[in-house]
Amino acid sequence: MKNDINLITQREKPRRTYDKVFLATFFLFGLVFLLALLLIIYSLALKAQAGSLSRSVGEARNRIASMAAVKQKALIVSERLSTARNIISKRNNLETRTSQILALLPDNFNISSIVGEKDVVTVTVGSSDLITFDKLFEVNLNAIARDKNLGLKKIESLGFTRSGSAYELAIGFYFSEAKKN
Amino acid sequence: MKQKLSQIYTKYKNQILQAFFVFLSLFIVFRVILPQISVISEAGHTIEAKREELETLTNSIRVIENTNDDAISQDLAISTDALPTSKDIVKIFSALTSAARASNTELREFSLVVGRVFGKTDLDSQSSAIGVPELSVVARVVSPDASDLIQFAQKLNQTLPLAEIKKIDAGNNLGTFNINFYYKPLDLSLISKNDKVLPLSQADRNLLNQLAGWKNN
Repeated sequence: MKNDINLITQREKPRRTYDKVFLATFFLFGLVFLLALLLIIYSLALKAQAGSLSRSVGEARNRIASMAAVKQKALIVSERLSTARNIISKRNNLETRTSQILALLPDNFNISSIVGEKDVVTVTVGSSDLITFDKLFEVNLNAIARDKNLGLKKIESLGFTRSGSAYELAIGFYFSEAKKN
Repeated sequence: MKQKLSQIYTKYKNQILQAFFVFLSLFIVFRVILPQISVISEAGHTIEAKREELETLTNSIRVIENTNDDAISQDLAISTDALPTSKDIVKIFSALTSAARASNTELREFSLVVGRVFGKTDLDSQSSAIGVPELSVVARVVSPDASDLIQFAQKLNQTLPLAEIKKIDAGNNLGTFNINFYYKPLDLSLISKNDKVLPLSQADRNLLNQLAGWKNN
């Protein structure tokens, strides 16, 4: 049998190829057209949805506007509370520190002066009995230094003086950081 | 020329329609599909934003509707006592005298620097490190007991308006206190633009109760 015998006419072969290519391009065009159509429809639907949402937002705003007085009060309260919380948490509480230090000092001392600033409280104590100062250094100041709640960085003896029959000692209590609430 | 065109047409007439479809497809892709994808993406974001906005507004409406006018007025009074809207000297004087009374001390004198009375940038000019405007006051208090002087500072810390003791200098029965009293002007235009109203949390309620307690001190 001969394999090279071609029974199809010379004209029919390109015709088939042409039809295939034509169909392919037409199919491609149809697909693209359909996709574009779907996208346009979807886009219009989204725009309609956005428009509807905008109207709802407008209505909600109008409703809130009709209750403006209560809204304003509620917002002011929230804003003030937030600021008040911030202030309270960041206050240095100098008076609390000073009070804690005074509470830890022995009662047999006279408090001559107290100077409290951001990170140092200076207390000048006086007594006519020198032995009480020994006790102060050995017992009380040690206890104060060990008290972690105070957040002390160091304690310094700033000066020891004698005035008349009494002695005075100035002690500086240095804090590592501002005490917060 | 006409003959040449005719020859080209005869040669490529079978491909013209196919080329036309391909060209049209490309045209649709670049002029319709790609722009539409961008439009859809934008519309999606818009819808998402609008939904969130609507949800926030709906929540705000619910919060406002559930808010009792008398209760919120009372809360407003407490919060503005804690942070007055202006430099309220009467409230400061009242706080100082009530702290002195509660600590068995005597308020000898006080002085304050009112500073700027009017200014559009009030918040920036006299703001503290916390970012809230403050009014500096120096108060002199007398008491024979040094611990009473410290008690004065403690009481002052628990009265309204909110204050912070910046310096204590006590000695010879006299205490000098440098105090910053906080206040906060109202920005009504900002408040009227804001439609996001959140309910007060338990922490807010607790703070309000604390402030109410301090108000009665």
